[in-house]
Amino acid sequence: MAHSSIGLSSVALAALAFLAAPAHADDAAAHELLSRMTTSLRGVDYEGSFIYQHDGRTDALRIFHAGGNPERERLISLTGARGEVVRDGTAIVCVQPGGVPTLFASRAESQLLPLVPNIRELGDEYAVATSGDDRVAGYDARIVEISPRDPYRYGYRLWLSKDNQLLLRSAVFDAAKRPLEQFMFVALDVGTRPSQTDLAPSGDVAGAAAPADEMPLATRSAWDVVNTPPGFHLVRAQQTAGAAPESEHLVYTDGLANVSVYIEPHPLSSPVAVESGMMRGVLSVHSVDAAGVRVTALGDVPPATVQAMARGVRSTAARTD
Amino acid sequence: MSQPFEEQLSAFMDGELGRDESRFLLRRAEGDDVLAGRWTRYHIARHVLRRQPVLAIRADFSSAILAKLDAESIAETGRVQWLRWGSGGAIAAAVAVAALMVTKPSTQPEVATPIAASTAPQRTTQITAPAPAQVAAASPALQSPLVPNSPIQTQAASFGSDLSEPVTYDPRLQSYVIRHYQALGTTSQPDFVPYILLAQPASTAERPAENR
Repeated sequence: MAHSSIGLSSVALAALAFLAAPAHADDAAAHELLSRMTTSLRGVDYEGSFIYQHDGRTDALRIFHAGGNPERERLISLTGARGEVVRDGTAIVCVQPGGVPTLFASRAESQLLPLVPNIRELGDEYAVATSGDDRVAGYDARIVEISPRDPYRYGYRLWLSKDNQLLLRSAVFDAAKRPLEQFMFVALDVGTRPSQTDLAPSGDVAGAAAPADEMPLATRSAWDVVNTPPGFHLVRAQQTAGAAPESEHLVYTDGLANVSVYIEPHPLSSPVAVESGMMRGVLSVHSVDAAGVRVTALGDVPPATVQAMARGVRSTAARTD
Repeated sequence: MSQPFEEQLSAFMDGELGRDESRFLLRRAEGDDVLAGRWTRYHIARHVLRRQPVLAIRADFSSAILAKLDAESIAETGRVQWLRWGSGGAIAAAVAVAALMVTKPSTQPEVATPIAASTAPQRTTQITAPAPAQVAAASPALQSPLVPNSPIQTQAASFGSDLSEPVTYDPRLQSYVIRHYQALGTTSQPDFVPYILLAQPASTAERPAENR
C-alpha cells in the first residue's frame, strides 16, 4: 500500500515536472530572445519605416541606424510637422519644427526606437514567456510577452525577428491586457549601412538648449516615499545644480518601470493640499502641492503608481523625530 | 582646477587668450578630465545664453583644436566665418569645428514656472507635508532659462490628432520629463529613452485625478 502511494506520488510529481518543464523552458527561451534583442538593436545596421500609435493617433517615422561604436541613429517624422532626432553615441539632438533644438547627453546609449524595454532586472512583478509566431514587415517573428502581475506597471508584447532578434514590433499594454501604445515596422532593410547623409541632421543645430545638470546628493535624502507599490525601490537620489537645497529628484524602479519623484519648495502653494494628474501616452504624472512643497511623480507607469508615490512623500526628519 | 585656469578657460572661450597660452591650456586639457568637463559646460552654457549654435564637443577636441591652430600658423584662414565670434575668432572657430560630441550639459537652474498651470485642481485633501522649505535666492546670473528647453511643439502630426486643439506644455513638466529619462541613463540601467515623444508631440490628454 505504501509502495503504491509512493508510486502515485512519483507519478504525480513526474507529471507536474513534465507540465512545468515547458513553462520554464519557455521563460528561458524568452529571456534569451530578449537578451539577443538588446545586442541586435545595438549592433545591426538597418533602416526602415514604422508606424507609431499613441494617444489615439498614428504617426509614421523613418529610422536609420548604424551599429557599432559609436552607435549612430537618426529618426525622422514622415507625417505632420517635420521633426528629427539624431544620436551619435551618447549625444542626442532633438530638432523640432520651428522650435529650439534640444541637446541631450546620457552616459548610457539610449535607443531612439520607442517601447523597447530593458528586461535585465525583471523581478517577480512580471512574467516573461514566448507566445507564438507572426510576420512583420516581411520578416518571420517570434512573440515575447512581459506581463505585469499587478496594476502598478505596464507590460510589453515584442515581435522579434527569427533571423537576428531585431525588434520588429512592440506594444505596451496594461494589467488588463488593454493596448496603450505600439510601434511596428512596415518596411525594413537590415544589413545596409546608412550613409553619412542619412545619419546627419538635415539642418543646422542652432540655438540648442541643454537640460540642467544633476548630481548625486551629498547628504542623506531629506525625503522618503512610503507605501511604494510592490517591487519599487530607490536607485538614485540627486539634485539639480543651482536649485534650492531642499529640492530633490528621487528615482525608483522595479527593474523595468521607472518613476521619478521631484520634491521642490513652493512657497506660494495653498495650505490645503491640491492634487492634479495627467497622462501622455504611457507617461503618467501626478502632482501634490501642499504646505510649501510641491511633489511631482512621473513615469511610464499607470496613474495609480505615480499617484501613490506622490502622496507617499514624507520628510525623513519628521519620521525620525 | 585653480582659478587662473578657469579665467584662462573663460578667456579662451571668448577668443581673448593668446596663442601660446591657448596652446598651454589645450595641452593641459588633453590629460585633465576635469578641465575637459568644465570646458564642455562652459561651451554649452555660453552658446545657449547667446542663442548661438550649440554643437557637442568630441572627447579629443583639444587635439583637433591644436591641429587647427598649427594649420593656421602656416596659412591664415578666414573661411569658417559662420562660427566666429569675439576677437579671437580663429580659436573660437577651431573650437566649434572640432565640436561634435558632448559630454555633459551645462549646470543651470530651471525656471520657476508653476507646474501644470492649465490643469485645474481635481482633488483637495489634507496630507502630511513637511515644514515649509526655504527657497534659495536665485542669483541674477542664474536666471537664464536654460531649463526647460524648447517647448514641445504642438503641431498636429497625422491621422488621429485633433487639429483644432492647440496644446500648451508646461515647461517645468517638460524639464521633469527630460531629467527623468536622463536619470535613467545613469542608474546603470540602459533603459530606453522615448525621445520620440519629443520629436512627435502629442495632444496632452489630461485626466481627472482619481479620488479615493
